[in-house]
Amino acid sequence: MGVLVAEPVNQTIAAIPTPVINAIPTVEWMKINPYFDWTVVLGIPFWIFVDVFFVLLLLTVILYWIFRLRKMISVKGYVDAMSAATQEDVMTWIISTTKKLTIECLKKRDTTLSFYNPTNITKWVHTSREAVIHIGGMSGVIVSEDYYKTRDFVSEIALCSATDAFNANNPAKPIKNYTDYKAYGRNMLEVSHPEGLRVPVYSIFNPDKFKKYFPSGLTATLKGGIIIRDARELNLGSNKLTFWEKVIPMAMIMVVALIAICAAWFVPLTGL
Amino acid sequence: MGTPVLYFGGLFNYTDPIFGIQIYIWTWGALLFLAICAWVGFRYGMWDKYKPLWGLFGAIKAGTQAAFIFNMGLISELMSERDAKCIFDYSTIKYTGLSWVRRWFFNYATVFLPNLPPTKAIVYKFAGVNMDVQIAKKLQNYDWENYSSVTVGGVHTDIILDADRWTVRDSPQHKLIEQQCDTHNEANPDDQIHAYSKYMRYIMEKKLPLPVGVLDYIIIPWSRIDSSFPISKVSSETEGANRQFAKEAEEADNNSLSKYYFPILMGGFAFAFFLLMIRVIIHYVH
Repeated sequence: MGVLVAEPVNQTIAAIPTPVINAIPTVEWMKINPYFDWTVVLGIPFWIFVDVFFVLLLLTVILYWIFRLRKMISVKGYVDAMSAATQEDVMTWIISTTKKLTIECLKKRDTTLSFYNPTNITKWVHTSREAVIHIGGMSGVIVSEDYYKTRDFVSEIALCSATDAFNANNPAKPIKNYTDYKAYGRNMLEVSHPEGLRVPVYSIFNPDKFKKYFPSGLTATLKGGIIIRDARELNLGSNKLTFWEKVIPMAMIMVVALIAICAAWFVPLTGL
Repeated sequence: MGTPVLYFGGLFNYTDPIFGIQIYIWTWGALLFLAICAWVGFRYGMWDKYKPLWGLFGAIKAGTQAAFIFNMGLISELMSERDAKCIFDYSTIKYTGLSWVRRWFFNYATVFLPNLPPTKAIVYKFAGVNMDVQIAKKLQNYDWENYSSVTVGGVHTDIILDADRWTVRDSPQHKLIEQQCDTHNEANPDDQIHAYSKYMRYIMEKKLPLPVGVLDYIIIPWSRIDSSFPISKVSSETEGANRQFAKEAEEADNNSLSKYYFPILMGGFAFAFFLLMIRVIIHYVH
C-alpha cells in the first residue's frame, strides 16, 4: 500500500472534471470514479446510494420471507417433526376446545405423547393403529384437548352417522351419549350392522358433533397429571443418588474455582 | 453534476490488487450475493419444507377458506375450498360473443355475479382471485354448509372425508357426478346442485339415483370403531410410558445440580482473571 498524502479527507473539490479529480488526494491503490464518487446531494457520493439500494434489497428479501413464513407458524410442527425424524418425534394435529388447529411436534414415549416443554403436563394416549394421518410423506396423529386419546375422523363420522340413523328409527331408546353407547348402543349397532358401520363417502367433519360419544371429563391434561403421579409412585430409584453423591461433584467444582481465585490473589508479580 | 469527494476518508476507494475495482463496488456485489443467498436459503431451505401446506398460505392471501381432504387411510391433502367443495369449474365454460378487447378484461364471475363491481372484477381477474365458491353458493340459493371444522392460522378450514375420490378432477367418479349434476341442473334450474355435500345429501335422501361406478357408503369394520371409541379401559395402556417417565424423573433428579457446574467453573475463572488484572494494573501504577 502506498503512502497517504497528508491532506484532510472527506473534502469536497470545488471544480470538475478530470483535472480536479486528478487533484483529489489519493494514495496508490485508491481510485476515483467520476460517476460513482459524484456527490449527488448533501455531499454524499453516488456509490452510497447504490449501497443503500442493495441493503434495502437485502432487507426486503429477508422481511418478505420472514413475514411469509410467519403465516405458517401454526403448522410449524410439521417441519419440526420432519427435521427431527426420530421415532420419538411425532407430528401432532391438536384441536383445541375453541376449534383452533395447530400442528406441533410432540415427544412419544411408548403409547404416550407429551410436549417437549416439561411444564406442560398435557398428554395423550395413542393406541389405535388406524388413527394415523399422512400428509406430504409425514405420518402423525390427531388429538383434541378435551379427550386423552388420539382421534380417527373416519370412525367418528361412521359412528355419528350410524347413531343418527339408529335414533331416527328408535326414538324410544336412542343413543344420546357415551353412557348409552357403552350400556347398550354398541351391541345394538353391532346387531343391526354386523359387518361394520357405514360412512358416507363424502362428509364434512365437525369436531364437536362426536364429543358426546367420548367419556366426559377425561381431558388430556387430567390424563397427563395422572401419568406423572403414577410415574412418581413407581419409585424405580435403584440408581437414585444420595444427597452427598449429588453434592460432592458440585463441591469439587467449587474448590477448583476457589483455587483459581486464590492463585490469582496470591501469585507473586515479581518480574513483571 | 456535483463534485466528487473521498467519503469515509477514501476507505472504500481502495482497489483490490487483482481486478483493480474499488471496495465499494465489491460491497455491491457482496450485498447482491447475500440477497440471492437469502432468497435461495429461505425459498429452498425453509419454504419448500411446507410444500404440502402451501394451500394454507394461498387461502390466507386470497382471504378464502381451506380444506384438508382425507381418504379412508387418513391420507391428507390441503386444498382450496373451491377444489374441496365445488363440483363445477366455471372458468372452463365457453363464453361467446366477446370482442377481443372485452375478452382481455372479462372475468367470467360477472356472468353469475352481476352485482360484482367492474373494478373489483378486473382486479380479481388479474390478481387471480377465484370466485367459484361464491358462484356455487348463489346458484344453489345459498343452500351451503357454512360452518368450518377448525381454524388454522386464522383461516377457516374444513376437514373433509372423500373416500371415493370425488374431488379428484380427473377421476371417473368426478366426471360421472359432474355429468349427472349438469343434467339435473338443466331440468331443475330452481334446485341446482353445485356442491358435493348437497349431492351427497340428495343421494342419501334418494332424490338422485347413484350412478354406476360411484360409491355412496363405505363400511368401517368394528375393530376400527372400537379403537376410537373403546368401551373398556385397558389398565396397562400407559404403564410403559409411566416407567419411562419415572426413569426420566430419576435422571433429572440425579443431575439436578449438574447444570450449575459450568457457570460456577467459568465464573470462578473469570473472577480469578479479573483479580489478576486488577493486581497487575495496581502493580504498574505503583
